[in-house]
Amino acid sequence: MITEERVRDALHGYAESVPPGRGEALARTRQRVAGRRRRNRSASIAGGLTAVVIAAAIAVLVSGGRDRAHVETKTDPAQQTTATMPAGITDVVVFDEGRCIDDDTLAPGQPTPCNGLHTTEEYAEFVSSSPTGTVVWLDACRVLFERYSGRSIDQESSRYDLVVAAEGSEAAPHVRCMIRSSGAQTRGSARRSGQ
Amino acid sequence: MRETSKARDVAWEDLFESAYERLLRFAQFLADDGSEAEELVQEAFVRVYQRWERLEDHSAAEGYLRVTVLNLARGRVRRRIIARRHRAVSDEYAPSAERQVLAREGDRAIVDAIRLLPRRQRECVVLRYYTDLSVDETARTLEISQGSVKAYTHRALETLSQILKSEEPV
Repeated sequence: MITEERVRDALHGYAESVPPGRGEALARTRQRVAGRRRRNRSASIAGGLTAVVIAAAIAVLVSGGRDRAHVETKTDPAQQTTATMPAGITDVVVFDEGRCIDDDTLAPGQPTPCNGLHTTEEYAEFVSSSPTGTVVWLDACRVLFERYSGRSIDQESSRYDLVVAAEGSEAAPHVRCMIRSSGAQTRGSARRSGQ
Repeated sequence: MRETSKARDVAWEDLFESAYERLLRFAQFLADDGSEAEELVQEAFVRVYQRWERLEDHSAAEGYLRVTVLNLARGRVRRRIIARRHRAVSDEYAPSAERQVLAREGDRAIVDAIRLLPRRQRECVVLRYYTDLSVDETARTLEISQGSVKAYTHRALETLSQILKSEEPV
């Protein structure tokens, strides 16, 4: 059998052949950072009283969902990381003005890609067609946000507003939880309507 | 506030200067091609920049970058996994002429074989033998148990041996 040392030598030897090109890379990365900052700034201005950043958590919470996660963990090593997520949570997706811009902002270390779905509508369709089903969990957003960002909603209350939007029904059940930058009134009404 | 922002920019650029090359070399074992490896690393740096204030321990930023690169690579790989099953690795990751000269033939054969490994096995091999993480560090990075790391790594070495053996001239 091939030895650890041989593999180690090969990896290091091969890696040395990578041309660094650091100067150009730094310039390109700086441009990307600047682009993101511009986009975020534009979104903040344009958003005003409406939503600026929406963090959507899609939860699959019924026992069927949990079973599915459990089975995946057992049968597919690629899905093992789901075991560390709250029961049934399958995706944490960040939307910026209706477009998926990020998939693990709130969950560093969690692989939750956009799956090529870019709009909230596409995501809603994806979730509603999920065979696993779900039930409403009104606290899902808060729990997700706090767990994955390491910050409490209260600390963020000046910037974010927790809105739990329960959509769908038992027939097409899914939950979308949104954290947005609108005023406290929206938050209050959303919570009341959720309860 | 402006001072804070400037300090962040300086610290982030220092991090870039010190870690970019290492991460790029790390990423090349996980990406489909060289340009994707660059893309992954640059995106990871952008994300770290955006979350700089939230990082509790800036000295651990490289570890965070590494995990981000891993996750970004997984996302992309997952989307292409079907197509990949039907393509030869050598077609996906055609080495440049320069690299072909620089890389020793034997090393390249092993690296090509590593790219054929299932994702978890490949991640364990790269983290253990390229990044030189311990079993415990690898387990924490991948969020799996130490036993799993050992099992995946052992299996990976077995698979590599089989691949390399099958490629030996008869």
